Amino acid sequence: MRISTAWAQQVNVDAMNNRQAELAKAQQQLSTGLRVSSPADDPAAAVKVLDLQGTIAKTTQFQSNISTTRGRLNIEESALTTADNILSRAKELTMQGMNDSMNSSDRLSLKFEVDQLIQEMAGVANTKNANGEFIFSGDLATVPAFAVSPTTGQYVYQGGSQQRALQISSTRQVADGDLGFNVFENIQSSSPAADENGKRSIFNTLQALSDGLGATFKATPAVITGDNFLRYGMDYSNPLPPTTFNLVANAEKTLPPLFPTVPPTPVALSPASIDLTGKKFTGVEDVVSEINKQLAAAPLLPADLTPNTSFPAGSNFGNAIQARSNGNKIEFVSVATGAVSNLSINNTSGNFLTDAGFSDGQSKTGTDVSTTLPVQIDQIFQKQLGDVLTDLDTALNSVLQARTSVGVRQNVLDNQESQNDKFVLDTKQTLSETQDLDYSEAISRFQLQSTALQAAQQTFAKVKGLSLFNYL
Amino acid sequence: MSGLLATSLSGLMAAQRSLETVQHNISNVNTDGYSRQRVEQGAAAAQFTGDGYVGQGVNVTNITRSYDQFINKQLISSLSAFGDVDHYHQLATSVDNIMADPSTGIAPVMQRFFNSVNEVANDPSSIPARQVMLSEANNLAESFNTMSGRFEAIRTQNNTDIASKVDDINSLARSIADLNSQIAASVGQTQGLKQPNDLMDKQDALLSKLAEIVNVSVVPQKDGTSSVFIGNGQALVLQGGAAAFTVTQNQFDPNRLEIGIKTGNGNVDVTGQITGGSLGGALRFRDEVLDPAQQKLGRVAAGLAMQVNAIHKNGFDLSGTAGVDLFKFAGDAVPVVPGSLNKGNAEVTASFQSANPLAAGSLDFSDYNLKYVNAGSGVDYTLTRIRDNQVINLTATTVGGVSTLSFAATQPANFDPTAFAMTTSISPGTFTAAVSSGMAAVPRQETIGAFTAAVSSAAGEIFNMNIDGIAFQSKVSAFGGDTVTGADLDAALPAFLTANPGYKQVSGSFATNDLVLKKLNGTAIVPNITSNFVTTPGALAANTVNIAGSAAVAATGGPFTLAVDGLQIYSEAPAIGGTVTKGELDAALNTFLTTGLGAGKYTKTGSFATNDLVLSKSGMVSNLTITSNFSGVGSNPGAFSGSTVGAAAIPTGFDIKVDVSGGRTLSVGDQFVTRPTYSAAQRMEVNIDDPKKIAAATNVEVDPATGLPVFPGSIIKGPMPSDNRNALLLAGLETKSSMLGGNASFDDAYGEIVSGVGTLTRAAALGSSAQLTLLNQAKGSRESLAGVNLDEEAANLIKFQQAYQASAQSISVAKSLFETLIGAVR
Repeated sequence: MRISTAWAQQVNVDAMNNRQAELAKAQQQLSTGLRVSSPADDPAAAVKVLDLQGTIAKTTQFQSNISTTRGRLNIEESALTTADNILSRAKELTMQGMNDSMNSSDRLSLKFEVDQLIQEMAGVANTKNANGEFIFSGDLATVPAFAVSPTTGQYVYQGGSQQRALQISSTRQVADGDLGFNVFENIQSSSPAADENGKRSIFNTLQALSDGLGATFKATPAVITGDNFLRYGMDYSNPLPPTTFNLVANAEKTLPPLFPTVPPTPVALSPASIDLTGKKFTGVEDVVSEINKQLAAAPLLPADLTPNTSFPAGSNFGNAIQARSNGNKIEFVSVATGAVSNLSINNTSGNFLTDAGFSDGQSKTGTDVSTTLPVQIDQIFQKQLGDVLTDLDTALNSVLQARTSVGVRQNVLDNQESQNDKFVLDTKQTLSETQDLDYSEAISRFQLQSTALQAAQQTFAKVKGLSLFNYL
Repeated sequence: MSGLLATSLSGLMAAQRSLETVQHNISNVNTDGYSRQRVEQGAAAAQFTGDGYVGQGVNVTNITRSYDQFINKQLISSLSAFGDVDHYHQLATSVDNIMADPSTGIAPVMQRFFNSVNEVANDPSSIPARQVMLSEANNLAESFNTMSGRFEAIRTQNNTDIASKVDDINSLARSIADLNSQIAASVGQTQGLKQPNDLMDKQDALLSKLAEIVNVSVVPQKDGTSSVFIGNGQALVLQGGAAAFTVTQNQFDPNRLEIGIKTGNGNVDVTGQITGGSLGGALRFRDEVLDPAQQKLGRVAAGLAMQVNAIHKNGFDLSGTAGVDLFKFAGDAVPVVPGSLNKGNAEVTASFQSANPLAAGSLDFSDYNLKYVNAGSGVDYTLTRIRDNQVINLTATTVGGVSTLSFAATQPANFDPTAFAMTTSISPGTFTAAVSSGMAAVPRQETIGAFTAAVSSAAGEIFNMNIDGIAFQSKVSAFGGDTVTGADLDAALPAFLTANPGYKQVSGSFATNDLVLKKLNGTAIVPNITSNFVTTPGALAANTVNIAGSAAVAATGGPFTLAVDGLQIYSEAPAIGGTVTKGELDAALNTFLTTGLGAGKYTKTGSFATNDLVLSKSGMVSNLTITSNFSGVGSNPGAFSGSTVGAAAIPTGFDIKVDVSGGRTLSVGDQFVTRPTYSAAQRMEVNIDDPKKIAAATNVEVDPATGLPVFPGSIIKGPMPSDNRNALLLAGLETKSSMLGGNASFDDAYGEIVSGVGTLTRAAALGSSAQLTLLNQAKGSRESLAGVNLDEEAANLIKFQQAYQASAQSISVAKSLFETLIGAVR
């Protein structure tokens, strides 16, 4: 075959160019350590690399979520430990106080310690985490979980209703705390002072202990509390369905001093009709003041006015019912106390009862200091402290349960963390196998290619020296 | 003697011409496209003498170039093929490099965005965490902008490139035409006998250059000129005339260049005919790599924005206000470009179906062309998916001059499920009240034939009688002479009738041989007796059919059931006396739609009772059907007339509205191009700048004890600064398969672009090196034939030098001969 001089040269030059390009590629791979430097090198691997890097970044984020959660649970655990100690101490004081050998001044000194414990417990319930969030306030962590209610003077829960959860793996969420409501307030109680759901808060229990030690015994009024948190009020202005309900109370007739010995008897009062139609409320207090306004404007009268003689002049039934706020809930309370006081709520139309968390016809009767007369202080004292003791045990259980749950979650975090660690390690291994260079292979390839380039250069020089014109 | 001199001279001249040609070859050793030339010599015509024919020396007959038409053709087509794939490869590599560049990649930015969402979920009340999320959202939007911007830069560059290549084509075509004229003149001078070799080489070189830009077919003419055609026969060069290519902008997209050729009848669009060469490569790159990559990138951006916005808008921000869109698009969310040739001025708008959670999954990577056709029978518009020319027919529902488009009644069967309409409807049509199977049968009444009493001969003999296989009477004889009489059978009859309510005694008895039985399901009554009593009991005489239940056919089908998409709505067993009425179906359908499985999924208008039921389902529907498997007798039970199967449809992810109110008009043939994804990545922006406006909360009130919502739809009206539930939902989007029909996450959808570009680039690299090999083979063949070999020329130099010397020597011989002769006579 004929060889054209220019073409022969071109072919040789092309060959050298190709060798050089291959060498440059090998050199680039060696210097970056990567087998795949652009998607075209290996499209499947390039996408896999993206995928694996994404997985690693995601899992690393989960690890960071885990350590955030763990930090918060650690704080909660130490708070719960303190709560445990406080309750144990309160139990000791209760048992000391119940001892018959104690006199009233001894008991008063115990009362002062209990008052301190109440303060301390409030401090625990309002523990903050590193971000300044109240850990027992759930999703409303910017407000303290418990605050003293201005109307009742007792600690009430005012935090959120939802416990926040953090994502610790693509399929798993873990709560980073517990609601103060569940830990401190919503505690089973068989005491007569329990609310209509049979619950009494730790603070109320401790307060009852303090009152008992201070020889203060109170008959309680009838109270019905809505279950729902109404932090941000309610809106019945648009659309305009009629929103009305009735409050029905029993009242004790207040007799003129003429009849001091007649025991108080309950009198049924006519229902007080409350109308919230077309109104808009921004908060609980708003609702409370509106309802109180309507209650005051319509003084309650006995339902049956026929035996008028039973109610001598000076009998007063006004303001027999009051609305007030309990944290974020709304509650109705009878002015009268003791077993004669009774309160019930009935829906007429609209959604107020549902919105506030009442059931239609819900009712509650107040409690007396004692059911027997004349009053025996010592019996009442023993009964009150006995109830306190039972409730403190339940409260201890509640705190213990919360601690156990925290422990379980910490365990879950540890397990997930080590799983995630292992997963990241494995993924990095796969990533390395996918994109990293096999150095021994690349180096030997590099050497082979440089040899080939040298050979091409040398033969080119040799061949170019050959020409017939040299011999002319 | 003078012959001697002349012969030598001719040798001298021939050698001189040859030497000149050799020198020409040597000089042009490095000239591109040069074909080596050879002097063709022939012996001169001999002179006849008495001695015979005496040679008269040599003639130079022609100077030819080494040329092979086949090899040249191959070279030209290889140049086109290589120019195409090589240019394509270069351009694809530029996109590939963008994908590979870690500083512009979307995947890491997307991860950082979702990580920052996680941090907000960890600490929703923290302003710094929210600020980081906002910055990462901005970063993400900017990354989309940047990458799309780089695509756009490549597009601009490609457009400039296309325009300059078209200029090159035009100037090459003119040069070729000019050369054609020169060649024709030169060839003409020699009466077509001799060719202007160097002009021909120049022509070939120009054709090669043209072939590198675009695939051409070259037809050599007799006069030495070449005619050049592109595509399917558009003439580019004919003899001395050259056509001109033009570059025009697409009527819907000024950034899309189209190539035309000027003819007497105006511009002819030849974009589709341009293949091969670097111009073909540039166009192919645009259609195969750049457009899909940019559209798919826009699809990820649009899908991400839709999904994030849908969740973000459902949430509440730090101050308790309902969330707004987190991302937006500069300008219209979905741009619509009216065709510049439209006669009407209707206003067409499109918008993403942001409320539809499946819309992101149904986005395609294409523009859509909406054309007003007014073709009748429900087809008012056609919507064409431009990337693959799939067409769907649309019906318009016009209210107040604004048309809402939905599926037309008839759809092409082969349209793949990325169609337009957002709802699918079916009209089951007329329903005839069904009578359950068996009830339509006319009861059959038969007279049972005469029965002769059976008498046994010994103990242990057995008498068995059944009616239609149901045991009727049996007796084992205790001793010979036992009997079974008609009266015995009559005694057994009441028990049988009580146990089998399908039979009734009409009249008569076995004893009197006139028993008439009625069977309600209408089939024949077959009494059967098996007996080994010695007096074979009277086989019952042949039955007499009193009233034939001619319509009586046993029910074979199952119960009547009505189902939508396989979800059972109504079912009734074929109980005797049972009927299925329209009212029952309506009641069942209402239950299904309000409290049953269909609640919230289907809507209906009309009813079975009024025969105008239309059942609709929004979102992805593939098999909205009503089926009834009633199979009975008598009436035409439960058959639906009219259409029963709705068109299968999935939304395209956007809605289109055509507004002709306020005096605007629409003409048949008007076109509008909807571009949901094309520039979405480029126009993506973050909608909010206040970190407090990030909606991390859902504000759903739950019962603290159970964690369940207190009552449905209860939203707390006010700030819930520590509520992270919406942020968790947003973070969950990262792994949710919401793209590509619900099969891919955002990462996957982006990965699809990377692998798509990577695969095409890799294929182009392989193709490019394969085409290079072919091109080098073609070049090698040509060079082997036409290239100059210096050694060969050196040898020729020596050869012709020697010939020249010999001829010169023979002149000297002739001279000495003369001198000898003259000396002899002196």
